[in-house]
Amino acid sequence: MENSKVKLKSAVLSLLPISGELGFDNAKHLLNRCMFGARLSEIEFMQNKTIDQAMDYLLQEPLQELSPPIGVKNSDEEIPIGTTWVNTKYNWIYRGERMYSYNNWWLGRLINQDISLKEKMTLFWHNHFVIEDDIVRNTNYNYRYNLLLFNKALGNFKTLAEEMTINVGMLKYLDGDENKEGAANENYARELFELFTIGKGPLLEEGNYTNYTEHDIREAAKVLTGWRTDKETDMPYFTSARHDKTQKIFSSIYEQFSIDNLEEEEYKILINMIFLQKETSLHLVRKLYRWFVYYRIDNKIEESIIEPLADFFIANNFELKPLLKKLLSSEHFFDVNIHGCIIKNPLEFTIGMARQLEMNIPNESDVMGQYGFFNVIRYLTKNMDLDLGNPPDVAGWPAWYLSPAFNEIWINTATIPNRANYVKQLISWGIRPLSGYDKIYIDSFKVAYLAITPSDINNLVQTLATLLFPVALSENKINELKEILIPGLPDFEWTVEWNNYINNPEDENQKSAIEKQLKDLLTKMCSMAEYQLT
Amino acid sequence: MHRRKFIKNAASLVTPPILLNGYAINVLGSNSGFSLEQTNGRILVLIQLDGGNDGLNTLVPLNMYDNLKKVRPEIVLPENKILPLTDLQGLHPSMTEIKSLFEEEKMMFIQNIGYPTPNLSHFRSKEIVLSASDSKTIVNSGWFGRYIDTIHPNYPENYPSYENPHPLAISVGSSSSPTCQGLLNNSSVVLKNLTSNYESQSEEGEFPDTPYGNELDFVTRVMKSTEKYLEVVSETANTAQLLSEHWTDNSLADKLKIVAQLIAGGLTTPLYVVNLGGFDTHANQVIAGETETGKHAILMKYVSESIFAFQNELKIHNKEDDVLSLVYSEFGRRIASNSSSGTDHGEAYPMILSGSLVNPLVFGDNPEIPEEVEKKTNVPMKIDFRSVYASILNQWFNLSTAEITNILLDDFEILPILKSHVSVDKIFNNSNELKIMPVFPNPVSQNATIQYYTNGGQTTLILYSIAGQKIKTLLNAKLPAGSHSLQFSRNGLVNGQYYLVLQTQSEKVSQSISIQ
Repeated sequence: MENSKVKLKSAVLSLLPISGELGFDNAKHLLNRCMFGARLSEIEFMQNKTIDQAMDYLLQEPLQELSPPIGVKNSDEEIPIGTTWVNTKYNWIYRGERMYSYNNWWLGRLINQDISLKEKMTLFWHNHFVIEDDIVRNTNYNYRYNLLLFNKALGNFKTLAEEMTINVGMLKYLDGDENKEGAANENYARELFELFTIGKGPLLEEGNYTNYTEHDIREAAKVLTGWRTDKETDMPYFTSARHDKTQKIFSSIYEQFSIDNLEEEEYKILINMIFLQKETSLHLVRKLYRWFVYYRIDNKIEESIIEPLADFFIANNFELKPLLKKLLSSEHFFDVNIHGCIIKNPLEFTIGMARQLEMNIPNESDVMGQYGFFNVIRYLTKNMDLDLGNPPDVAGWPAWYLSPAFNEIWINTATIPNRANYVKQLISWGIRPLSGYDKIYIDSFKVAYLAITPSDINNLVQTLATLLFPVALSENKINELKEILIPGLPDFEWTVEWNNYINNPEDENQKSAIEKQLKDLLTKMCSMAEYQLT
Repeated sequence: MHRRKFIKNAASLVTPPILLNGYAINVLGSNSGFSLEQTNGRILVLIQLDGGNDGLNTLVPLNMYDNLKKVRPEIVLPENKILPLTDLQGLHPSMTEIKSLFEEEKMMFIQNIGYPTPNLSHFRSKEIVLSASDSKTIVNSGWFGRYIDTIHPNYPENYPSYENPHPLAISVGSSSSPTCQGLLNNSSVVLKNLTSNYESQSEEGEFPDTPYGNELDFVTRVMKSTEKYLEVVSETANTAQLLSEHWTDNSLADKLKIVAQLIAGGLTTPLYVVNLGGFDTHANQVIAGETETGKHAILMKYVSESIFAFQNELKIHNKEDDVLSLVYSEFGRRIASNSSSGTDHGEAYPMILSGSLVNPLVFGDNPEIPEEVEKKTNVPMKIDFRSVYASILNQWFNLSTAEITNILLDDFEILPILKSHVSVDKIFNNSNELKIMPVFPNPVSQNATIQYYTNGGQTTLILYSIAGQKIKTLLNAKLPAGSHSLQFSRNGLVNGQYYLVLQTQSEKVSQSISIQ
């Protein structure tokens, strides 16, 4: 694509932290990148914090454990509505009901999220240590996979890699549970090198991928033999009899590192060996950079940002919090040329819009309605090519790895109409959580009241524009937006009409007329190309 | 007026016809025809004056002049500057070109247009005018949108298509006009300008050379390419050139230039909506002492020059007889002037029609202007604006009164808006063709009205599923020849596409119907 040849202004190559209070624009940038859409109240909360204080909020662990997913379907005869199934024995007969519960539990967390990096990082890890629901087909396993991601999302990368290696969901997904002595299954071993840790390099000769070789994959597969999953306990377990006890010797890339039989501890040694390679840290840092900053990494970025961060990561023993803090506090990250350069992934778009426009979701006490609502959002997001829980394959979603287009992949002639329809869905057509329920709509008056003086058209339009768009709009564009509220009319007419509504709250017609103007404005704003960017 | 000819079964070139009992059915409804036949190649241009146009200073009731001087002294036009139109009416001094067009028998004025229980809120009144609803009822569709729903019930599925290659409506500007809002979709294509080359559409500095600018550029390009009509619109525009010497530069003229170029290029889109804003002249409507000048005067000049050039352009390209333009506003303005040399929101005002086939007169009596009025007094309505819509649907687009009632939600008086030799009554009642009219509403959620014409004798109307299974016999009776209607209830039918098949001894026709 011509894109990669276009010369663009670049961000300052400094990892020094910014100083002073964040201010509105930086707070908005930070929260939009770290969450799924930043609400006005959240930005306002953060704007007078320093970056240190902000990162403390974003990196803090929640005080309470996650509540588990609950049954919401009458057709699941084992699980009464409102109770969880995660500690019961998995019954495949109710797979549909359990998947519905699991998927929507997860999506609901994103809508309800507090100021925190947890959920964004959980998604990052899901895209990194991929499993696909449709292949695992055991919701008890899915749940334990999800819990591992969430609990360790801001923890230690090496520990996470270790625990993921024997996680029941992953063992099932990449055939780890079939890998046994004499019949080694290389599936996980391959992806461990290629995707999950060090990453593939250029093919130097047959079987040699610069960072590892086919031989290394075979040896690693041997290391990983012996693990199985227990469907009664949903736990992994190790059987010595199934374990390959021979000595495993790795390639010259690993200086012929050898592992003698250590039974169930061997996999940790393997992981340690891979993590000794700097490339493992570089690989992860590049992924985090593309996730949080920008998809283009040229030699200068590699040298001045990626390399120092990888060194820092290693020095911090693969702890994620210091790494994330360093990256997300940097002058590079906050550089004005990094504002607005990421195309929203479908969840940032759908969840973000619902949060930013303060959509009322069904009450917590109405679990069926809640999950029904989440299900509609999840389904609409799936139409934009992001099926939460089901990446297209083990490499994750191509928007995060496929060069040169990267996140431009989210935007095509099929997904754009779906994004446009989603806007109409929330604002005009409404969302019906379940049959028999009333439709839920964005309350345009609630949105209008985000402005301090909604009767002042300039205050109203500017407030919404600065909330919704990453970069300030031109005066022309602002005037176009005002024109939607008051076509062909002077500014004060908005005040007149608004006050007419305020002073005559029983006048249904006036309310409806104002509401229509507000809906048109919000529809236009969320349909603009600018709203696709974050 | 010329009709385009379309091959009846052209649909089969694009989508294979579905066979129902061996009878090929055009999914779009075999006797709903193609867009062109429905609208006879005719085009309506809606010129919306935003803000509320001061009718009394536009079309001046000359016999009320003395009282006008008394009640609106700050803004009344100088008597000797008013352009005489007829014995009883004059025009704003700016409107010299419109006066010429009137002399060429191409302008019609309809006085005292309004609606019962007027609403003086811009938003609400505009909503009423664009949706053609009662002032106390909220209707969420536009009147023309509902018309388009009856002839293109499946839009936007399978549009554009071989039979319907052109947009169904065009809003010139940056957002789609609510006039074109149907029950589900807004069928208008939004056009800001005609430059087909994407590159040149970007404003100076619209895509900065930053990563943001780069991504914004990309997203915008994809958005534009999903606009399916872009190609046909730009191809059409490129086949014509504007040739009239009378064009000037103003925001209304710029929009009418786009419309003219598309019509000249052969685009068959039956509706264009253009807007001119600034009419909300609460203050400084005129310049004190020279009331023929000022804000309103400038705006009326724009209107006058633009319409003149537009008509001229159409004439040059032999399209004059195909186009009718309607100039309207959400309401008129107060009879009395206020203390800021302006007027406040009002009620009735005159609508203006222009075109080579319009009935060239001032229709309706002059409003009565007493010598004293209260600040709040308005010109009362005598003709409902929906009558004008009804007249356009009836005489310009040849719809029957039943079809019009469906679209406008009530009956309205039909006015003689075209020159008498042109008016063509809907021939529906005199047809001896077996016919099912497009079902309204479609898609059906609960009930709908099915109107059909039978040539008499034993007549059956049967509902089939999309797979050709007979679902229900709606009618099986011996009927006299003529038009009939029946009420259809979905009664437990699942959502989906169905077909109605109307059959007599000799003939059989079908119509698609969708249940949602």
